[in-house]
Amino acid sequence: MIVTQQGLYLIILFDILLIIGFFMGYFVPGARKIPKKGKKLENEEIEKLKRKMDVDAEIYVVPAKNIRINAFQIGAKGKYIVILQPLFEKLSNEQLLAIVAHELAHIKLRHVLKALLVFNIIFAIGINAFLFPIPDIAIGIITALAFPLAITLNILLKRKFDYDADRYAAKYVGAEAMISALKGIEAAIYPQFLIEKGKGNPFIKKRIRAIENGR
Amino acid sequence: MGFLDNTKGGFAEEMLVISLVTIVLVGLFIYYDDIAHHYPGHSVVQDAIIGSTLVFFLTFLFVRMARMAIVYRNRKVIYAIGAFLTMISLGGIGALYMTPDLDTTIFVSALWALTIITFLIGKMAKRFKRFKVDIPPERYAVLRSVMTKRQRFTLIFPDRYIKYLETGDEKYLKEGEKN
Repeated sequence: MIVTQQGLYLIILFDILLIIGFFMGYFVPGARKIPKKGKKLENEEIEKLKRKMDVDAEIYVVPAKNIRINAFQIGAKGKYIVILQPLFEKLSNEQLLAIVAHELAHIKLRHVLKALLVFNIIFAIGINAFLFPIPDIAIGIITALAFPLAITLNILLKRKFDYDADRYAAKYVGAEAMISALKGIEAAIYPQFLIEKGKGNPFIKKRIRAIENGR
Repeated sequence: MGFLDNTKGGFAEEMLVISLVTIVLVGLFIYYDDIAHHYPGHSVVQDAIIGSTLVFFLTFLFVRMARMAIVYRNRKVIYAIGAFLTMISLGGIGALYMTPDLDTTIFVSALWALTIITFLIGKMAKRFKRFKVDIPPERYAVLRSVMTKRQRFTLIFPDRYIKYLETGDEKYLKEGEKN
């Protein structure tokens, strides 16, 4: 396809927006405001874990209004780890340490950067397909599929990253602590009678199996 | 009971809306491309097949999201519809830039109007009783583990599940509990 000058400007504009989006996703402007709403979590065990894993991050326990059972990293190179208060209250110290190790593993293995790169590269291919010397139908297919493909791959990658982070964290806190933490999260979300019936979270079950099998 | 709710009637209404919108849009598409303008190299049959597949998929996506917002009492889904519409509308600006004629201007303006209306509906939804309660995401995760695949696909399920979402009371998840 021959791209007109107007079309070329449009592609350049979308590319610039994509690059801005990438940096926003990586650095997350305003990230420091979220953890500052909570209390910094500092204790000897966590400091020791951070040194052992060679990851520098500040850990905060933040009160939660709606989403309650969650922990995540935020900011460039995962500078902050946020543990939401309700989750913090429901876990034992050992389980909490495993959750922190899991989040530190995400930072160490640079998972946010990898996920953003994959998403942006696929999206960029979709936008820039008009510049390739290929038939129009191929351009149409690539452009139409780029966004759903990028989203699907992102979801699958995040799942893979969770398995990787579990395995990596288990090296430092032990497989049993990691499994116990995952069970703790499941128990914090699901009613006991559903867990007993085997109707808990299927992804958590898979993660536990993966740790048990050493995958 | 209401429009597009969690009953068999709601599912039937959903299918009816999807079919009607698809037929109308594909009809307009064929009229515009093949009858009114006679673009060379276009076949009516080919346009009908490609057009109906694409339009059906998009219509299904939007109507399903609207029904999910209603049955799951989640106004955030309305914002997700708005986000999808924003992306399509941004593409519309691109189309307007490439083909700045009256037809495209009307089409893109309509798209933007629809996007803004969707966001306004999302913003105002909290005033309606149906969307008054902010439901924590964990309850959806729990409900998902209780629902069968058929219930998740058709969105036909007992009212007690909605009561669980609104109250968080586990008794509504147990079979045999009256609505």
